[in-house]
Amino acid sequence: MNVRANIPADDALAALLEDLVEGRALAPSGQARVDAALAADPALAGRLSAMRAQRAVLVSLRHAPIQAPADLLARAQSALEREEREALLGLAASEHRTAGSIPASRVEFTGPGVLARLTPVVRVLRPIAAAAAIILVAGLSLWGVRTLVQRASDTLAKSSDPDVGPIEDHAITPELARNDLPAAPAPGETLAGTDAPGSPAEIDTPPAPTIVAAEHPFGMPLDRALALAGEGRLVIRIRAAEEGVALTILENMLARPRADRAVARVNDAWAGPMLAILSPRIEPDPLPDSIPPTTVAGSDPNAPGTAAPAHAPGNPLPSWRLAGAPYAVHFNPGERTLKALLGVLAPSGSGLRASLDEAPRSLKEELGADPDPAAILWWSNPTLWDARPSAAIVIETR
Amino acid sequence: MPTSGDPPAHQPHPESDDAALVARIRGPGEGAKADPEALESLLRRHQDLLFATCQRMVGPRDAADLCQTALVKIIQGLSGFDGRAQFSTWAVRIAMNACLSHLRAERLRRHAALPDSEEVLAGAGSNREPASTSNVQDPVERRRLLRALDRLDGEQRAMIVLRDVQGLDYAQIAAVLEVAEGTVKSRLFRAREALRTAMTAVLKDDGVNS
Repeated sequence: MNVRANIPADDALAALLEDLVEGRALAPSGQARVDAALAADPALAGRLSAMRAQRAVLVSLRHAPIQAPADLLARAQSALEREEREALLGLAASEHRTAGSIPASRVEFTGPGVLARLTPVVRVLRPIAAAAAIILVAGLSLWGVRTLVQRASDTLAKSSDPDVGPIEDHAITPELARNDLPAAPAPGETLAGTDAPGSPAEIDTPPAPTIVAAEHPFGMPLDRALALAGEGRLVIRIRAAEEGVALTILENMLARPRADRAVARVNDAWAGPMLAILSPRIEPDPLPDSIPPTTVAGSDPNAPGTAAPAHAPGNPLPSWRLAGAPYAVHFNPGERTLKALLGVLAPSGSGLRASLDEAPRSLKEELGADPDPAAILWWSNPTLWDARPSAAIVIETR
Repeated sequence: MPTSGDPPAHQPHPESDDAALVARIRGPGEGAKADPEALESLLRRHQDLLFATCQRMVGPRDAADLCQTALVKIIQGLSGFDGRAQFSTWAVRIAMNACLSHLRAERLRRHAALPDSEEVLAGAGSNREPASTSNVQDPVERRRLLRALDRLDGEQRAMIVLRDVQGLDYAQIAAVLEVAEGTVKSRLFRAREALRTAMTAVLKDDGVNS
């Protein structure tokens, strides 16, 4: 049915006729225009009259009280809980899924405007992310084999040539990684053996091992990481030469189907405090990516088997800095989940490096471990979420 | 407020109260706990308006489901509510979008129930009668008009429901439907013309000479 017959094509005339239907007085110029239209279309007056009558009937419906069903809010609550339950079930199953599934139950973007700022980058990097995902599927399938092979090769490398040992086997404490520290000690030396006047260790840093055992490729034992996550003190650090690659991965996680994650945008107010807490932890540039494993404070840079730190005064590189806004991830407690999460966050071949660190205090508030009423979780049974460990995710770049 | 001076379908709650509730929901700031009860209060004070909007757009059969969908979206999107529009306008927009999506999906099922039910009509004739020469108390006439409304496309139906039944002003209609405010009047008049034509068809279907 053509219901658009006899409609004035002129928007201005239509607006004047609408005024007329609603009983408003017209300005002289408007009245003249309407009079001309009425003269040109004798049936127009009758149509306007019918419209007035129809409007009167419709306006009378305002007085028909309509009340929402008493259980409407309860139904909405049930719908939200159902969505969350599905998300939780999907995540519970993720522990047993094939490699490549996302173990994160909830990834929250806590900062403003990152996507808007990085849209061009994200567009360009989308193919890279797709390729990384393919690599991830294959890579995680071979996870166990690769781990065994890596350990074996690491052992061989260290035993035969300590200068070229794999970076992943070593971690330098933040204090030792400062630019103004003395030259690195000989391979294998510990902080206790490198103390010199004026060194940070002498001031207030307790002796700490500079080399982490090979069984902790992410910087700390996974059970320790899970314990920290339970306390809200776990920080996952993604070191990226290209910030956009890391952000693309995180944003892709945010875009996962609801069965794999339950995204809830939390208050922007959380981002500031989180950065304030984490920034001092990031600034000392503690990760050894660009530093050969033997470049530890106190060593002779010219000695055989040592190399100058990549960011030493003679060979400066920009310090690592906190990039973008922090993210938060909530995951099922389990070493497999945590490992898989780290694999997703820093897939092999992506140029990213994931490591685990300890926040100086609990970030539970900032991570939104407690349900945020502004988000979906207001409807949840909080006990479902309190048991889920949380971690902050920060991206570091130069 | 409606520009015509007609009372709105639902007396609006003070917007300042809504803003205060939204602020409580979001929490006062760093380290502070938000107020879960505020969200329930906010939703309760607007649920009738949202439900009425849904019912007048899609009829009683689907109204509850769509209103529930709208409430879920409101809760999920509340952190993104920037306060530039009134909360009620923002919430009605979400409900209206849910209805329009539903109507588009159901376009081929044009005979689904629309407000031709007694629920919608109940009480309509027992209150103050607007100044008009029309037979607004004639339930048959009302039912025919609502059947005609059912024949309009979603956007035109939304125009008439928001203006005549819900009593929104032009600025609010523009905000809800996300159209330029300057085009609301002309769109509304075209919707009225479409309704009048549809009413002619309904009368013809009923064997009544218009």
